[in-house]
Amino acid sequence: MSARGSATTVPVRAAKGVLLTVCCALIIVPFVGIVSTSLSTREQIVRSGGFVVIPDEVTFAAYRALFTGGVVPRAVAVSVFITLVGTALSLASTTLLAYGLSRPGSFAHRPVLMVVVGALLFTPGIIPGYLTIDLLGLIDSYWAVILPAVVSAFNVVILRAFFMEIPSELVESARIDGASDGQIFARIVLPLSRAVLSVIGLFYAVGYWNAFFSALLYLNDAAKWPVQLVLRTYVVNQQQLGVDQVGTADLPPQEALQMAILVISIVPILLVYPFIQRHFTKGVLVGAVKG
Amino acid sequence: MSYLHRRVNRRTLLSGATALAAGSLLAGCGDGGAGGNDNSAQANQDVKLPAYVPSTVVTPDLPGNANGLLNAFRAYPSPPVAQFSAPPMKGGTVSAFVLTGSPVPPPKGNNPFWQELDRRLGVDLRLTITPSAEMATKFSALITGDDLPDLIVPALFLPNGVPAGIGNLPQWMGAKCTDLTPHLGGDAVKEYPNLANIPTAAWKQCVYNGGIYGVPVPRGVAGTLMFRRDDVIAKLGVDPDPKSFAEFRDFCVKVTDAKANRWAIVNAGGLMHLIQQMVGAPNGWRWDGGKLTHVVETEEFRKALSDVVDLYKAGVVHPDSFANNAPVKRWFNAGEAMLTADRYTAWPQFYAENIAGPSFKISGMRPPKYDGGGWAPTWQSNAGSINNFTVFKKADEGRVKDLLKLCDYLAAPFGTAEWLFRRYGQDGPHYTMQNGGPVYTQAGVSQTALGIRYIVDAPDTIFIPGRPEATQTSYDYQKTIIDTSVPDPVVANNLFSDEWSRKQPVLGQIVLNGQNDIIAGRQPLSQLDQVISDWRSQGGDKVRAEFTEQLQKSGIR
Repeated sequence: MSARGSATTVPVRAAKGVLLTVCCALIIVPFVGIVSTSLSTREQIVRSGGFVVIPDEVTFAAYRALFTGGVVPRAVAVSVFITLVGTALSLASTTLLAYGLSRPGSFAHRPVLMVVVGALLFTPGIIPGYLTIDLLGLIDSYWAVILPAVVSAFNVVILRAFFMEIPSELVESARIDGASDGQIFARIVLPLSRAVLSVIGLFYAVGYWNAFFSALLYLNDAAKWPVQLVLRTYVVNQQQLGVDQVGTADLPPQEALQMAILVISIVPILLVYPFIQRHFTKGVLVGAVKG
Repeated sequence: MSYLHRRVNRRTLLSGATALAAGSLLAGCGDGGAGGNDNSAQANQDVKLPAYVPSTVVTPDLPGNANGLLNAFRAYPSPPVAQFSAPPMKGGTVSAFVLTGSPVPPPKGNNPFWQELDRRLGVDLRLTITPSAEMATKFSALITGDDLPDLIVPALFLPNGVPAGIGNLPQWMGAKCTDLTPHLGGDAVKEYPNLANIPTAAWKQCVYNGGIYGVPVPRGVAGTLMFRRDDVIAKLGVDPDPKSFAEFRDFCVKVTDAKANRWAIVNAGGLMHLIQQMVGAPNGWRWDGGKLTHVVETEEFRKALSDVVDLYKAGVVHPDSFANNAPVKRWFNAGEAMLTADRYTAWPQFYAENIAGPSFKISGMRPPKYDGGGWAPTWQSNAGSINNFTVFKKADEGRVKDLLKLCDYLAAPFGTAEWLFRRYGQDGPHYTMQNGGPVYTQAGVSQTALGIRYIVDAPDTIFIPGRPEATQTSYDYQKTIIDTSVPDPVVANNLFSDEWSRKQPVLGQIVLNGQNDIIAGRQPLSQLDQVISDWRSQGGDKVRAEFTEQLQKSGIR
C-alpha cells in the first residue's frame, strides 16, 4: 500500500487536485450563485443574464419582501410544527413496528410484514387518498399532512433489518436478568440503534419539511400552508405574477425572490445536517448490508 | 394556434395526466341524461344570452368598439366614481374556489385588505386559493369530495380556450352547478348593470348544456402580438415596419449583431406565430363549411416552418432560445432581442420592469402580407374573449340572486372607486398614485393577491400606469388590427370536444416538439409529415370528428 502511495507522482496528484477542485466548484458555484442572486439588484440580474455570481451591490430587498406581510414566517412555523410532530410520531411508530416485526416469535408478524411490503409496492392514488382524508374529517387539518406519511414502509424495512442484527444472546441475557419486553426495547435495543434512528429521523424530517403536495390537496385555508407550498407559489407562478400585476416596478426582481426562496427553504434542513452527519454513513450501511 | 410558451405546455401536460384520473370519475356525473345535459352546439346556440348594456358610469379617454377594441385610459379617473352606496350582501358567508397567479396572500386575520373587502361586500368571504399551476389537481380533488364552495373557478383555461384537461366538464356542471339563464338571459341581466356591461362574446364562452353556466372574466380578443423595441431600432436606423416577408427577413438580419449581444427575436416560436399570419394560415382550425383542417395540416404551416428554418439558420434568433424556461421577457427588456411575441396584457409589465428608463419605447409589429401589398389579418386570442369563468354551486333562487349581486359588485368597471379598491386596495397602505396611475406598495401586492379577480371581472381596458403615451400606442395598435383580426372557429363557436379537452396538451406537445426539431435542424422539413400523422393518429382525427359533427349539426358555416 505504502509502495503504491509513494509511487504517486506529482502530476497525478496535481491532476487529482484539479479534478477535485472542479467537482467542488460544480457544487459550490451554484450555491454561491443562488445566495448572490438573492442579494442582487434588478439591473445587475438583467445585465448578467439572470444569474449573478458576485454581486456589486448587496440588497436584502428580496428577503424583506418575503418576510413582510407575515405569510412566510407563519408558514415556516407551520412547517417546523409539522416536521417536529411528524418526525416524532414517525420515529415512535416505525421503531415499534419494526421491532415487533424483527422478533421471530411476535404475533402475526408474517402477515403484517406482507402488508408493509405491499405498501412499499402499491401506493394509493390521489382520489382514494383524498376520499379517505375527507371521510376522516381531516380536510384543512395539519393531521392530513402528517398522518398519511407517519409510517414509511421503506424505513420500516431498513429498521427491521437493523434490529434483526442485534444478537439474540443480548436479548436473552437481559431476559434472564429479569427485564421485560419494554425494558429490553428501551434499555438495550434503542441505545444500540442510535445511528440508524438518526438517519431515519432525518429521512422523515426532510420528507415532512418538503411536503407540499399533500398540503396542496388537503389544506384549503392558505393560512395553514407549510413553507414549501407558500414558496412554490412564488416560484411556479412567476410568469403570471408579472403579467397581471401592473405598476410594481419598486418590487424586487423575480429572480432575486426565487433565489431567496431557495435559501429560505434549504437553510433549516442544512442546519440539522451536521449534527446527524456522523451517524449517516454508518446508519445507512448497517441497514443495507443485511437485507 | 401558437405554441409559444413551452412552460404552459409542460404544465398542462401534467394537468392532462391528472385529468385522466378525474375524467373517469366525472363520467359518473353525466349518466343521468337529464334534459339540461345536452351540450350539443345546437342546444348552446339557442341560449338566450344576456343583453349587452355598456356602462356609462365612466367615459374612457379613448373609446373601444363592439368588435373587441378595448376602452383606453391615459390616467385613472380622478376622483374615481363611487358606484355602490351600500354593501351588496347583508351578512352570512360566501365560499369560493379561486385560482391565483401570485404568491399566496396573508390570511384574513393578518390582512387588512381582506377585512376591508369583507366589510364592503357585507359578507364573510372564505377563499380556497389555489396556485394556477396546481389548479387541475386541486380541482379534481375538490369535486371528488363533493363538498363544493358557492363559487368555483372550474378550470384553468389553455391558450386555445378549452378548459385544461378536465374531461366531462359539461356533464359535471349539468349535475352540480346552477343554470344561470333565468337570472341572466336577455333583459334579466339588467338587474345587475355591471354584468350587463360584459360583452356578449364573453358570455358565449360560459354556455354549456344549453344554458349559461357561469360568469366570465372577460379579456380582449387582441391576443398575442409581436412586441418591438422601438427605442433601440430607431437608434439602429432600421425601418421598423417591413412590408413583405422579404423585407421582414432583411429587418431581422439588419438588427442582429451577435457581437453586440443582440438578436432579432427571442425565440423561433414567435417567428412561427408571425409568419403563419403573413402567409394566411388559419387561426387554430380552418372550417370551410364541410371540412375542418387543423393549422398544422395546412400548406401555409409548412411554408411558414420552412421560412423559420431559414431564418434560424441565418442566426437571427437568440441562441439560448430552446433552453427550458428561457427568460425571454428579460432578453427583450435588456435589449438582447428586438422582438418578442407575447399577450397584449404584457404591455404594462414591460414598462414596469424595464431598465432603460424614460427612453424605453415599445409597440406592436403588424404582420405584412407575405408578398407585400398590405397587412395580413392577425389572429385573435385563442382563449377567445375570456380568461376563465366561474360556476355557481346548485343553490336556491334567493341565494343565487345574492351571489349575483356580489358578482355585480366585483365586476364594477375600470374608473370606479370599487374597481380601484378591488384591484389596488386603499390609497396609502396598499398603493400610491403616481403620474395618474396607482403603484402598489409592498403590502398592497401581497394583501390584494386574493384571486377574487378570477371570480368575475369588468371588461379589460388598456391602461399603462404613469405612461399615457404608451397607452396611446397600445390603443392605436389594437385599433389598426382588431377589425380585420380572425378568430379560431372552434373557440368563436364555443365548441366542446371531450377528446380535445383531454388530449390537447399531448397533441400540442407533438406539434411543438416536431416543430422545434425541424427548426433546430435535428430533423429535415419532410419530418413534418410524420408529425402530422402522429398528431392525427394520437387523437387529432377524433377531435376533428367531434368538432365537425357539432359544426355540421348546428349549420355553422
